Amino acid sequence: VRVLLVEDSVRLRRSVATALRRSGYAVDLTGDGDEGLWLAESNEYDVIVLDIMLPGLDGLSVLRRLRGAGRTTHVLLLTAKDTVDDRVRGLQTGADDYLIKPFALEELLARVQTLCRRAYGAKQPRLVIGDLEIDTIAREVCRSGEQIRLKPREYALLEYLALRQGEIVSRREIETHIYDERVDPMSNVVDSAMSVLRKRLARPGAPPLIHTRHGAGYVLKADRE
Amino acid sequence: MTTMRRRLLWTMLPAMGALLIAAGIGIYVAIRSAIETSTDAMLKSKAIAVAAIARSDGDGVAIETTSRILRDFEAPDPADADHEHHDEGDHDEGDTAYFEIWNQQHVSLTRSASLVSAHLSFRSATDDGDEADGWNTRLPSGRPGRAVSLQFTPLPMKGAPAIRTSAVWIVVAIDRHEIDVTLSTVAWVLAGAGGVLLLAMTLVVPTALRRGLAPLDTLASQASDITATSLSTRFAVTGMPGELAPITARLNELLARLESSFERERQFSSDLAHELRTPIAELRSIAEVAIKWPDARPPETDRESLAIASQLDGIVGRLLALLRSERGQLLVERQHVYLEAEIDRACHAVTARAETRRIRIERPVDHLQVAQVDVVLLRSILANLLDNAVDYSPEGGTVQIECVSKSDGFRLRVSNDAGDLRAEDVSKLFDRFWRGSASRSDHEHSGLGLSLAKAFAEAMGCRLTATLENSRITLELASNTIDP
Repeated sequence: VRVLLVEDSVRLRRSVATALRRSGYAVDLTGDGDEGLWLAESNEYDVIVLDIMLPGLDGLSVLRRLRGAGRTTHVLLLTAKDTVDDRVRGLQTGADDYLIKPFALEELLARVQTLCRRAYGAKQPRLVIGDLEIDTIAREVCRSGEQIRLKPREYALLEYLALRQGEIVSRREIETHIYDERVDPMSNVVDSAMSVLRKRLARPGAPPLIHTRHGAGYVLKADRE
Repeated sequence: MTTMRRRLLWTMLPAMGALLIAAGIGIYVAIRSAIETSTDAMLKSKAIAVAAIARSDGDGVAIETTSRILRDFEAPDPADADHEHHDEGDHDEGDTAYFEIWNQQHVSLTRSASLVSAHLSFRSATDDGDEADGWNTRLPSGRPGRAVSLQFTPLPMKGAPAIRTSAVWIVVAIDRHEIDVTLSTVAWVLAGAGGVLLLAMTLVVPTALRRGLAPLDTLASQASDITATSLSTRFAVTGMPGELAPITARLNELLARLESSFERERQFSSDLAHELRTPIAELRSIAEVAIKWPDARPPETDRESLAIASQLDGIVGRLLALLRSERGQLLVERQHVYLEAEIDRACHAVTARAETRRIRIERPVDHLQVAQVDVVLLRSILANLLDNAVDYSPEGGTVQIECVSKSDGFRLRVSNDAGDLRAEDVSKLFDRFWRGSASRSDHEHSGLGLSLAKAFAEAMGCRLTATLENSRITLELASNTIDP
């Protein structure tokens, strides 16, 4: 799940990015409104975390232009302005959520996660695929009642597939949503991640959940081929 | 609560009541005196008429009984006398007049038939000679009467030898019942009219007061609606009476001033919150990441935390200094200061930074420019101006420092390339927390420096102004005494 963070404070940008990456998100960063708009328009993000006070183009203008261009990416506004007017203006411009500085990182992560889930039309925090259960709040995965430990990136991959369960998800989409610009697009990072995830999910006697569609991508579904 | 209306009411009503009573009494006294004067004149003419028909025979006085004049002095009809106390009877007795004539020894010589066997009480005319003055007396019947007296010398009797007649006194009296009835009617009418007026006043005055003071009520109710959040309301000036219009106008001015100062304070608090929130958010997120993912803790975490703390410290320190200077609590000690020495000192502090940004600093060469200023405040101002000039001037630019010192004061200018500073930004330079958009995210400038420098300049009797010309921004510190 890929997130764009537009925040002009270097220190805040650094620690929020660390927190998001550690939670399994692919994060792109910028401290400038114009660059933020360019990134948001040229990439498929699941969530944009946008500061309002920005050098160059301010956050609300970025949001307005994005919505004007027909982009429906979920946007979480981040700002130190806390008057009702500011909040209403932010939401009216097309923001999906609003967080006032200083904030608890946990809350930011929870809100980003909720927006991600909503991006795929899921309101339930619990995703079920056959005997596989994913708790998107606790970020826990169980198969047949047995907990499976996953690394954040692996979890992010599984959650992304689960959010789009039954659909064919292309390698390109996985690259876009799970990996940020720090990953070399020419590498076979998706293939190796997928094989690791398959190994972790595999249970003796249980049918595989991840299916490969050659030349198209992957599908996560419960029924046997 | 003592209201203006109640106070006016309690002053006006008794005052008007007292005035009414006094007027009533005055009118009554005037009417009584007029009636008595005319009665006295009538009695006097009767006395003169009787005197004209009185004839003296030396010792006694006789009246021509046939004279028509005596008709008024005849005895009342006995039939009427029985009804003396009846209403009709009053008229006859009221019309009846009495007279009696005395000699100088107060011996009764003759009297009118109406007196029958009774006497009038004797009283000579007053000594001051005003013989028309009548007096109230009691008639033989016991009823109140009005009398006048007159001294005259009767003619000798016809046919009698010419004798020397001596002066006699005549007292003429009538029943004053009619006068009293008229006077009491007047008194009742006056009292009645006065009472009605007083009653009407107690009804009309409060209403009139309420109407008259209604604008005050309006003002009060408008004023009671005003709170700190509704300072934009203004009192209606149109329709206000002349006395209240200036008050209303002053109140509106006061409200406008309050509103703008509240707005400034609100803006300031909001800016302050904003300025403090970002470093707090940074500090918080750094700590949270370090706690949650200790392995991800970057080596610079502690240095960053310290930098944020210093930044917060700087904001708080500058704010306090600003507050103190705004409250006039700054201690200003003026002394002879060599401007070049201070400029050198300030330049030295920014040299390293200027070199990294390839900025050239041009400073004055002539020495011994002296100014009468507070050296601590001057240093703070200079440091601020040079910090800004070096940090905000585009890379490779020039910062120019000039200073002039004359007998009437000094002038010190720091100018640099304006970069992307726009003309409309110049007026905002001294606003608290204002920073050019490009530099907002840097941590070195709090946006308080120039407002603080301006406050310091004002505290030591100087002015700090900014001008943008030929894409160079110039900040000028000058003594108030020197010509602009």
